Amino acid sequence: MSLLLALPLLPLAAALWFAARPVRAPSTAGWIVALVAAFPVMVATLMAPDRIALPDLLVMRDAALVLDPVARAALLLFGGLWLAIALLLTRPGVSDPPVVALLVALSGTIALSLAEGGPMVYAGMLAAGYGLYAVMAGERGAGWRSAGSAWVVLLVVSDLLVFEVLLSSTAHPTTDPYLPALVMALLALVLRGAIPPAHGWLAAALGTVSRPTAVLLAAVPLGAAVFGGLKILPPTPPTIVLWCSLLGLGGAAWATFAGLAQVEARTTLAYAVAGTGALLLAALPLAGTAAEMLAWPSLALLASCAVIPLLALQPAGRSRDFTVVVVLLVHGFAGGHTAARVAATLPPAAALLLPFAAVAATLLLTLAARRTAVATPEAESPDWSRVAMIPLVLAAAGLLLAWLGDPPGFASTWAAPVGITFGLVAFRLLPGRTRPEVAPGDLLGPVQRLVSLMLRRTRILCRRDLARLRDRTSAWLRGCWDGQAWSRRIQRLDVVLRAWPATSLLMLLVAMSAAFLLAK
Amino acid sequence: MNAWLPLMVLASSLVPGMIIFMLPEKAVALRTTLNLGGAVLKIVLLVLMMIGVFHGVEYEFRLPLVPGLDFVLHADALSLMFVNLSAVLWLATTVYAIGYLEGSPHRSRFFGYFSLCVTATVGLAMAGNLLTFLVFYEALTLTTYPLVVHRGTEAARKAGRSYLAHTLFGGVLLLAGTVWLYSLTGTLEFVDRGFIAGRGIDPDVLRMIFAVLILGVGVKAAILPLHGWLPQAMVAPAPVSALLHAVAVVKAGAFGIVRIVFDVFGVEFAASLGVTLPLAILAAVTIIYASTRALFQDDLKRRLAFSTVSQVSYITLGVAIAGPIATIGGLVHLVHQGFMKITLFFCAGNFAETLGVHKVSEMRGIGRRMPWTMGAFTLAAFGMIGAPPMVGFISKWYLGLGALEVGQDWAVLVLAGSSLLNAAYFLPILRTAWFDPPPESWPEERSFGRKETAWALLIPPVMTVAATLSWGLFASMPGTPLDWVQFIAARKYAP
Repeated sequence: MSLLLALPLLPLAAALWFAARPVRAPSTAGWIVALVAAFPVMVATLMAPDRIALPDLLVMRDAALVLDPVARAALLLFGGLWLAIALLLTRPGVSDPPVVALLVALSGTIALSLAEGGPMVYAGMLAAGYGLYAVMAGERGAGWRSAGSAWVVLLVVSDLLVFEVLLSSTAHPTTDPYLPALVMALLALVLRGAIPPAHGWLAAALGTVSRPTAVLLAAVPLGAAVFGGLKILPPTPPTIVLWCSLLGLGGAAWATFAGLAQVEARTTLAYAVAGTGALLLAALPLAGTAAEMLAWPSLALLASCAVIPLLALQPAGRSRDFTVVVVLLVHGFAGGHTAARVAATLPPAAALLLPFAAVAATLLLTLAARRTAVATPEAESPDWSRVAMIPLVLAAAGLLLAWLGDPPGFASTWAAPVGITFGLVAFRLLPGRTRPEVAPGDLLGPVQRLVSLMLRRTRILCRRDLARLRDRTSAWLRGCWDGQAWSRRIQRLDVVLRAWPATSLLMLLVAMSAAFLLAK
Repeated sequence: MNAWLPLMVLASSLVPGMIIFMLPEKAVALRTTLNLGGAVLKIVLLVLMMIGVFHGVEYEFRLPLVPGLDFVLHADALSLMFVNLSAVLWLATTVYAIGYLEGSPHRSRFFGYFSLCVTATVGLAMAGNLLTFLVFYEALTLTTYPLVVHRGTEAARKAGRSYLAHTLFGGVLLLAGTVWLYSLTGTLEFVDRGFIAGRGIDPDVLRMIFAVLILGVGVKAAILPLHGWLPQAMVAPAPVSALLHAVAVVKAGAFGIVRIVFDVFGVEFAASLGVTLPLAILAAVTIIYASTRALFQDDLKRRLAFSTVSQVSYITLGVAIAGPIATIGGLVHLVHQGFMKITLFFCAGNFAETLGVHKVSEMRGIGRRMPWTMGAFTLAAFGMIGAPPMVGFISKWYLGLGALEVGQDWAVLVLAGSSLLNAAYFLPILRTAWFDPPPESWPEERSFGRKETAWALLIPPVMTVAATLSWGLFASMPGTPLDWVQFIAARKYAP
């Protein structure tokens, strides 16, 4: 069996093993997940490019597993994140996300990373999305519920859109991009990746979940959308690139406004992720032509975001300072690199503005890092604090490989220092509030209220009104065949007509009218 | 041999059924042997026939009844698909029913009618003309009625009356349509591409005959507004529900629609008469209406029943779209839906039989108590939603692709809407079952030691869901239902 085929199957096998043996010693799950997660990292690092065709898989006869630069970047991101949280799970006292869901989500992300051919990418995105939802749903407490429900609705709608896009591209294969399908694809990626304006749930969720789940939420939804997009999006006309850039700028501005108004580190991080998503939205239309060039900066950006929840494990000191400095610089440089790459394809005015999306994202990440509490040395041992090094190393490697492929210039480097400086200034100037000015994830509030109203109305319609209508109709229909009832009705009518004095007058009127008409 | 093999397939369930009627309640071992032996023998015979049909062998048994009208059993690719579905699911349901009804009264009566019901289904599937189809269609009604009222409660009797009234009404319509058609054409033989075109019959008359025939079989296919009997029949035991929804009755209706469109009228001729579009619209309305009704059912089996009403109309939609790819989607859904739905009903039966859980609101934390059953339920539910790599995705893919191929883009929206509604009524079940804390005690918990439930109840859903997963994942492999259906579609649309 090829190693590529074994990659997504191994987590599933482990999941089956856990399902069959639910009783296990504490920390065993963590070590096994770590072992499984180390496998894709090793394959991405050590294995030569490879491709195996799987013509019998699903429906298109073009499915394959491919180890190319995009797959390597994705495998490093997802494998590295799962490795980090698995090591966290080996700590005593850490809340334990459902390990089966964790492994199913890992399998989905690996399948997504390696897949070639639309339906297979779709299957990977589904497994990753619902697996991660299950991880979130396994959290103790009910804080995640509202956010989780919002996300699952977005996931379902996104899945349907991806399905429509794949159907459309298969039914109408054409070299020219089909605009409605392209827009649907981008919309699907926005919905599933917590990219503005569909980012509201992330702030509410990140604020309530445990640290391992927070690490995943900070990078995996957006990562699955971005790497999925890199695989399924066709070459795009310049108009779409421009529109996505403008939407990305708008989203970054929105995320910045809401992120600055937060108090908690996690909710600020959510808006930093949204800002990063806005920047990547601007870059996604280039997926059809420059997927490999975008993969490495995406790895750097996403892995940087995942470092922030782990900063809370690090006590004050040089190690923490080093981590913070590196992560912010990597994020800023990678953001600037991506913005510069997209700006090269835009008209001058938009090209000038786009790097500000990178500045905004780095600003928010700086703010999130500064708002993250410092661990006390007694509470955390140095061993656990080193877990943050895993995504950090991945982020640095992503940036390095991005720079090797496309050497940086001034255009791609100025955003980092500016974003970090603005972030530090904002942290210094913003008043210390006890409550955020903008409630985390308030975006979907009105939408949720509208949906619940519609559901309530539909429920009433289905439970009460339709049943009443049905009963009345069936009673009326039954009555139509009841001869005795008809006889009674006619008798009643007859009695009424006889008893009614106006009947005589009416008859007289009719007779007079008839006589008049005849005479005329 | 080629003439007798269809009869032997029929006899493999008829003879055990007749013997089982005569067995005393205590003869458990003999009854089980007869049941399982008959089911396995039927599958072996069917495999032989499939190999033959694939290589062009004709299997036909013909018995003249009156001049010009024969009793015909004919095995073609389409009939073998349905017979295979029934035979395999009969085996699974028999194993399940043995576990489910352990210790309950009237088992000989139950298994006897069960075998007769499968016999009627197999006969209906292999019917070579409309008359034979009608005979087995009515036989199916009469043999399933005792199963619906098996529990003997007032609710069961009421459901039985409703079932009988609906299906006999359908049977009368089918009889009327058959007689009318025979009076005009002088033949009722099923022929690839139909036997009506080119006879110079008034198109309006043909449209009326089509409507009468479709309404006749549409009762069993639970097409709106003739679906009322199906949710009511949920009072029957879980194996009967599985039989109604996945093996026999509903599928017989859907299969009847396929036969009428393809082998009576011919799909191109039906499309030229303009009757396929109204049928597609009716199917679409049924899909959306039933999914919406399912959304608000707290009783798990009722929710699944409305889901069946919706999902079976996918088959009608695929046929009515009248294109080769949509036909593949519709026909393959006949098999796929059968396996997914039987899994869901087995699981619902397991919840009821093991824990006394009948309602969705009682399912909190049930996944922790019964992980294997709930795992099977989860995979089947995702299949119903149409998520890859489950088989539901394959069906929806071909249906959607087929609709786009013939320019009926609206059908894709119907599929998307249905998927959305499926997600809306299945995902909350999964969430509450897996992630909500379980109650301190279950309504009527039975202990099975360290196992979550009896093996006979657990193995069938696990096997059927494994089939749905593997047929979805390896859909393009030779020997899968999709492969067989592509073989059928190639024949139906061959120039």
